[in-house]
Amino acid sequence: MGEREFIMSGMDEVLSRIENGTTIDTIVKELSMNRSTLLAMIEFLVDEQYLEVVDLQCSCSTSNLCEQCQCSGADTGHGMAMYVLTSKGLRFIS
Amino acid sequence: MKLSTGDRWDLIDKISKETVTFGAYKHTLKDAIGELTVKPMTGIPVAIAIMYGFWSVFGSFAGFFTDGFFVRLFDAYWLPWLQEIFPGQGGWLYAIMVDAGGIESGEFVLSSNCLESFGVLTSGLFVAVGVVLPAIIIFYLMLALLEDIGYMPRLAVLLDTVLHRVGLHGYAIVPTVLSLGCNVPGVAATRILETKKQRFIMMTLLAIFIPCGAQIGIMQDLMPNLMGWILLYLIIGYFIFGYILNKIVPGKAPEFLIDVPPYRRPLLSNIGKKVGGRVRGFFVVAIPFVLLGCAIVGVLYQLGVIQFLGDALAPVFVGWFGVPKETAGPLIAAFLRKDLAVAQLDAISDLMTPYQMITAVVLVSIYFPCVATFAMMLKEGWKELLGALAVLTVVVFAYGGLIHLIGILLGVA
Repeated sequence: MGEREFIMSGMDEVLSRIENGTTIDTIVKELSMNRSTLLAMIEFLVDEQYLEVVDLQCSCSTSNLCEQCQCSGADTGHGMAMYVLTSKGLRFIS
Repeated sequence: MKLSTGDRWDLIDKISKETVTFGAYKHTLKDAIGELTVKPMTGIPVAIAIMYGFWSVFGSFAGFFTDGFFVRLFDAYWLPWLQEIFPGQGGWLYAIMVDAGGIESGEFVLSSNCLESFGVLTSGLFVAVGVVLPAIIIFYLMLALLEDIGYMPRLAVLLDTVLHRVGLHGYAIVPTVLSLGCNVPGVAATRILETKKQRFIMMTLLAIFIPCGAQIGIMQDLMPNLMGWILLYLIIGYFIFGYILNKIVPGKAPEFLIDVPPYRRPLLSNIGKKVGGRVRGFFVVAIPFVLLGCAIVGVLYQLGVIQFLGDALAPVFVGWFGVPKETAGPLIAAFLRKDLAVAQLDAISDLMTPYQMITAVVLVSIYFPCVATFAMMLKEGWKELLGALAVLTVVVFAYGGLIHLIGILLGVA
């Protein structure tokens, strides 16, 4: 299966799993896929506005520490990234 | 040349076939170690072990410096020295700044330790520097270590299901843990939550049920045998009222896809900067409020306001909450600093049974956020603040009354 077909057919699978709350590692394992492939798919879903990146601030930013901390305020809080379904994503899976 | 969407996909297919090798997911040892802390079967025992370790180090470190060094320094040297050199013994300024003392057989008697003296320069400094500072330093050091190792996101994943029951998600553990250090950054960190409903629930629960590091430190030092019960009541309240709020507050609490980073080696310089910055924040925010709190309570005592409030609110304190009316003073001080209020409760512990002490400390924790947290909540929006205060009022009376009722049923109230 080509990347395009894989992405299109796997998109609803990934989105429906996100609806129930999960981690990237869990999806990678459950769908037995390459992590980088899933990350690319998520990037695509974000670009297409099916998913939204949650703006996580590093905890240090709450105490004006980001200038000193390695995260520089742009990190997704302890190196963690979070995504949430948009209304377009919810419509797609329903 | 402009490519159509179909052509672009074909081109992507072609490039990816030539450049990318797709393989099945391979489980590595690193993944396995990472999973141990995320899967409930292994993750919960690991989390309990880490929390136990956290607690043990916290208690030992804080106890070592407070009991082994600061108690001796303040009670044996600082207090007697101030009692001697400060002018106007027995006067109102002396009572507010150094020692309120007591009357025995019609004579003014000086206090023997800093906790009972109630002075700004004695109780105030002792609580802030001698008791709270060691606790805050070790708390932030441990927290920075857990953050930099990469354990916090795993704890978030582990607790995701539980926290969804109260309308939050796993990452709500970050504001919660931060609040265990100080409620102010905890309230600020609620911004990481996605919806208004989640932010409101989180902010309300933090303001009511999460004791700050300063309060935990002083409880650990003054009433270690009651700590477990106090924290148990607060944790139960967190989930009961979180569950209720989730049912009645309109709005959504969506699910998330989380990308957990790998474990990594913490950098000493990074930890040093985090701890240093947070401790500096404590000095700037907390210490002036502790001293101010001491001064205000001292003035109110001198003016007879505490006595008046205690008498006026006696039916509520004694009848509804089951605590002595003398708790009015500490409850007023709690608005400025909860740690100071706990210290003041300990100073009147002779008037209370252990269960009344548990009730009084839980009330100090839940009855009102300290003034710094109050200001932070106001910054987040006055509507949210008013909503949180309305919930808080209901919670104080309902939960305070419930704890009293439990005590009556158990025959210990």
